[in-house]
Amino acid sequence: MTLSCLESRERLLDRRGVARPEDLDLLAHLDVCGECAGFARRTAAVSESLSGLPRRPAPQELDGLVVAALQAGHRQDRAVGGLRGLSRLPVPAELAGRALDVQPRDARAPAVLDRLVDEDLRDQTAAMARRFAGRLERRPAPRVLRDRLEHFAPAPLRSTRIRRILLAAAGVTLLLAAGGVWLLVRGAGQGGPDRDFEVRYESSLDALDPMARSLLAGLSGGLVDTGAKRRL
Amino acid sequence: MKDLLDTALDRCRIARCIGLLALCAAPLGGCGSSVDAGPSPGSNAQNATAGSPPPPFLDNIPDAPTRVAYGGQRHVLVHYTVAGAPSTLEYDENVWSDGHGNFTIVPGQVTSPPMTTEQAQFFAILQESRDGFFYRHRDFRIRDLRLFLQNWSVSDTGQQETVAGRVGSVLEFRRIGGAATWYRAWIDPQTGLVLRAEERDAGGQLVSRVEFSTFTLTPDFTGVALHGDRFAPTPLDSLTDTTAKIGFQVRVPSILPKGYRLESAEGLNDGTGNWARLAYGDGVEQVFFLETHLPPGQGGGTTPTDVDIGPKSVRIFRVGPWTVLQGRFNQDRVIVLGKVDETSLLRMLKSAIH
Repeated sequence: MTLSCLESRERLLDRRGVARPEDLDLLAHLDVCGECAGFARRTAAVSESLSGLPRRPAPQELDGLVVAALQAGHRQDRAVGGLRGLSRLPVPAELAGRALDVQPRDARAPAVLDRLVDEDLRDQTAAMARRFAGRLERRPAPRVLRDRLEHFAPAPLRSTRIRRILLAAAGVTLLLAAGGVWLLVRGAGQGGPDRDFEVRYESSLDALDPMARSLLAGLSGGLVDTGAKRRL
Repeated sequence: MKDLLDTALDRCRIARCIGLLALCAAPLGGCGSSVDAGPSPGSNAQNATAGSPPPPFLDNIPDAPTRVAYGGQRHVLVHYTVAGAPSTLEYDENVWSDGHGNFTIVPGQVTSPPMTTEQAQFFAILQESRDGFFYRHRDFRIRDLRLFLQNWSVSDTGQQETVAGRVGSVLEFRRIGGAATWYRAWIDPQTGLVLRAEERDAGGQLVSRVEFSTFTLTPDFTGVALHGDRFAPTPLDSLTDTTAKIGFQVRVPSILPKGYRLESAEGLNDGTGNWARLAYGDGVEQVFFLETHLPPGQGGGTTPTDVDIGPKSVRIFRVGPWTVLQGRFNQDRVIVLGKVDETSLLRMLKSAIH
């Protein structure tokens, strides 16, 4: 069986860059493919560099966080499963080269990340509350709690009756204002003719608008077109 | 009578007259339909009658002119007082309907006033151009049964009289709360058609009458040019911005004569500008509110014969039972027309302007 370059590099990542004696197909490919052979060397160098770093124990609180995360619906598991389901892409040669140029011991997390992690670890309760409290369903306070608050709270909070009276008074005021506006508008519509318009009573149809004349002619059966106005 | 033709020609050229009349002849969309849906008309018919049960054909009256195929000759008589002077118009006309919304009215001989041949021909042209308006708005008709039942009372006289060979039930219709005029109508119980209708004033004097002199339910349409809506006005939604359709925002009256509801809102063009025409009805009668917006720089004339008498001025005309209010407010020309009292029309006008 002949491996492709992609399959060979995936196998090399699994082997940390060093092919095992039983990987005959991989060894055969590396013998004929110089690029994959170079990839194997770079991967082995990175793996060796990383494996030389001092190991740090995981914080004991990490277990609690993991448990909390699992209780939140195993999202991490699903995320990791999803990531694992993705096809692996080969590391670009330029990136691998840069990784080799960097001194591993100089690599460290930003200071702010250290501080945030430290704060979370020192006050786990607050951290948990920040992360999960916002997702909780809001529940109404028990009636007994409300009664106690009203009993011990200052007067403005306790005087529900007064507030209701004030609300009712405001409503009545609004209604009166609306009624006043309505009466003003209605009064404007019902006012005498001489208040708003100059009204003229015509004794002839000469000044009748052509549109009104045609409409009136249709409604009167044509009477206004028979010269009736001449009799005035 | 030469004045008749001279006057008409002085007022407007024939083409423009016909154009305007044709605009009026354009149907009012939604006529006969109420703004808000209500219970089935027949369920309330009892409430409109004065004591006796309602005639069962009441439900058929609104749709009969467009639902029934018929033909015949009608005699029209109008006794109107125009600004205190009595005037009479009397003529014949032939009417056909195919029962599917198509109809026509062909003017016939004019009995009164006397006219020369030339005058009669000109008058016939005008009449023919507005036959659609006659058919829909001139004659007595229950246009909206639900509104009618709210605003009118029906009295069945119990009489059966023959009109043009058809036996009709004689009913009297009066506006609840009173009105200047009332109607007596001879209704064909089989079709719901109005065979004869008389409008009378409070003293019982005849104001107008339209009656069939010949009538058939099997008309011969040979050579008859039936038509539906000659002109289709632009429907308007008066509650929204009408600027895009007619170039200005309609001032919708907020106070209406008692019992009236909006029936239709349409945009028209009279050749010089766009108009908005709002039609309100009480089930039988109609009030029209028309408005146009003058371009900047136009209007404002104050000469006595000018149609436009200046801002915040209203002219009031009386033609028979009709009252016409005509005014200009800034750049808006407004016309309100209806068979209601002047105060109600003024109130309606003010509510639109304010």
